[in-house]
Amino acid sequence: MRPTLVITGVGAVSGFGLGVDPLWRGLLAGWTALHKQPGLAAVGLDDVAMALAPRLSLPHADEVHPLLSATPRAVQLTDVAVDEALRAAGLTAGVQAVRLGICLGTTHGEKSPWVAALRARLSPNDGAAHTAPLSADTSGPAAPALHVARRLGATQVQVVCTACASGNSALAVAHDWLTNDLCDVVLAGGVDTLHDFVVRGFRSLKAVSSTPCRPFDADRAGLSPGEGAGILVLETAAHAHRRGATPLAVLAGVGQAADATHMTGPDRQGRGAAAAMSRALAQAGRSPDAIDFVSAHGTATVFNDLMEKHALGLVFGARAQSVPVNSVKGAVGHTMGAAAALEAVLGVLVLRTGLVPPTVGLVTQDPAIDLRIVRDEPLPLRARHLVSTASGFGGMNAAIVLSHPEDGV
Amino acid sequence: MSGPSAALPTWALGGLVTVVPSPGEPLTAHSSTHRAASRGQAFLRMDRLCALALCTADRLIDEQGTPGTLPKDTAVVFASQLGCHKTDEAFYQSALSGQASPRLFAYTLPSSPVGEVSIHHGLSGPAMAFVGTDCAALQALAQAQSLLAQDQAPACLVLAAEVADPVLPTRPSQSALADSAGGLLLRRADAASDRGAALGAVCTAFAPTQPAAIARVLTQLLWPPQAPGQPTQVLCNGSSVPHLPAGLHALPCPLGARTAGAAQVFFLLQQAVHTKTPTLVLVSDEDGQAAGVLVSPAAIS
Repeated sequence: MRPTLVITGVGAVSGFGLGVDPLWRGLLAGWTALHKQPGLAAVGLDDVAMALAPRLSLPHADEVHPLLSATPRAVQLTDVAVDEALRAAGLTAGVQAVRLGICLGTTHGEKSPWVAALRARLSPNDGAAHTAPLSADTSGPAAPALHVARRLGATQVQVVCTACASGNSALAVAHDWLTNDLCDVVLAGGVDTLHDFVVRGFRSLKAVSSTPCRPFDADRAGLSPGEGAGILVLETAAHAHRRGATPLAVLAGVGQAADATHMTGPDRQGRGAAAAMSRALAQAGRSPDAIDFVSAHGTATVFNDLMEKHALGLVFGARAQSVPVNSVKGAVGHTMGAAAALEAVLGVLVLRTGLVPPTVGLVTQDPAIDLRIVRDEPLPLRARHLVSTASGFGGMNAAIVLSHPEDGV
Repeated sequence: MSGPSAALPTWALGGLVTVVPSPGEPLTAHSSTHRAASRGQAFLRMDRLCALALCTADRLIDEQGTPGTLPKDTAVVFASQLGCHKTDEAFYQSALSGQASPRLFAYTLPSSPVGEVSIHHGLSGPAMAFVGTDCAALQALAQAQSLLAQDQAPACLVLAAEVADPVLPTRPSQSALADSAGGLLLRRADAASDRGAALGAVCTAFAPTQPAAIARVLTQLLWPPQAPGQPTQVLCNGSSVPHLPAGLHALPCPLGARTAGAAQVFFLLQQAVHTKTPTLVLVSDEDGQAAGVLVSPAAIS
């Protein structure tokens, strides 16, 4: 029999600040952390609204904008989120005594030192930051996970990439490790930071909105980049019970699927996203009728938001028009590999507080998207089960089902 | 402490291929069923990492005989230690020159090969990529086993590829790399009538040092030491393996460091199948990661 897996701690870093509290406060208030960056005028990116995490140190970045800095910021953000999650789970002192797994989803991992070094090499007069020799500890997709693993004495480490669905895929790996008794506790989630590499890239695709993004809006014009980290502490319900930890939520199911249609655009009918949600529901043993809330990917690109309308229609049928749905991208931006992890943190908070944050940026809902989008103010909702779905380049889709502990343990 | 090796499930190896192109050798569509064959330039526009993965997938699928025999919900799991560094370099160069290339940016994710393989072969099962370590391919294999065990997919393509010569290597071993790729098709042993070997469950570990990580894997896979089905040889990606029980000797990859990275494990698996000998395939890296899998001769035809 498959063990029940519970979430006992969460940690976050976002454009709203360090920690879950500023994130939740900002989301409930309907604020946005998206701002243009005058400091990027020299590289022509000052017209892009983006959500930057607080700067944690200034070792050699006194006059360098964070997007051009060589500081390993992804490692720093991961550290902050991990420590908060461990504190919340009551594991600060005991983490060395458990079989600990670290699984992080990311699109780029720690890329800032690499980008800065390459910029210095290719364009030495273009505002190059100080660069240090690169190493596996400070650069590369695995650097944040390896750093945390060494610091905490982990016994399993993996780095998974499913583009902007990576955070949910990391939860899928955590699910397997715990189900197969490879770990007692898993820290799973996602991290990504912004650098000019990725902002220039999204802009080359004409996917970036010139104003803060507006998910599901009739006038939506693309995404807004963001950065952050989201970490969840997972363990079996039995393990949590033995050490007296309080389950915050149940990770009831995970599902993944490929669109198999296009490298940068989603399947127009949402079949991949629907398959991922259906697989997650099947693993959770829940009917779509049991789902009280959907945390959508909601990037505010024309095709993504329409795709999700179709995907939800495939999964929920006529009920798709009445299930509350939201997107946090207008508040914290599209945080790529961290996005699904932060939305999983959001899901835990929805189950705990009975409130669904509004979709920031939504003014006039696209009439073609006949979903019940939560907007303007928080929606009181005693949710028992929810779906969080994410999609990414390459047609990657990953979804999770979270349940209230009273219904899942 | 009990060791899991005697009770581990086994998985059918439905096909196994490796690809080592010459430096700069153009990669072309291999399979007659490949969508690129009818799309002309479609294959050429993807980056070399994707092309390596797609070539490997083509050959694996061709090996299955009748085109289109793979179930549509077959999973695709990819691995790479270095990922898309070459494309990253090319994209960033284009961006700094003021002509940021959207075509290149589309391939600046290490998961891009999963997208291309799923698109070109119409596979809509679970799709994932594991990155950043020489052990990534065995991590991918472990994930494939888990997907099959949970009935999330009826079969799984496990692929790995590495593109040579990073401009900014983060470890010395990356400088000796050659373009290489490998892959296998995995099915549940109880549902398959495949040719090839049977694989045990993958064991992965992380520890503060490489020898300590290897020791953890060996403890899991070789305990108890006299259990039936124990290997008589060890194939590894390094020059030696500490903590090996008496009587077992480690043999390095026949292609040596040229195929370093995540793809190397497929060359080790190929060697294991070729020798028709119970084998432990063991991979580790200097970051403290290790992973191993037992290859059983029982199903070798």
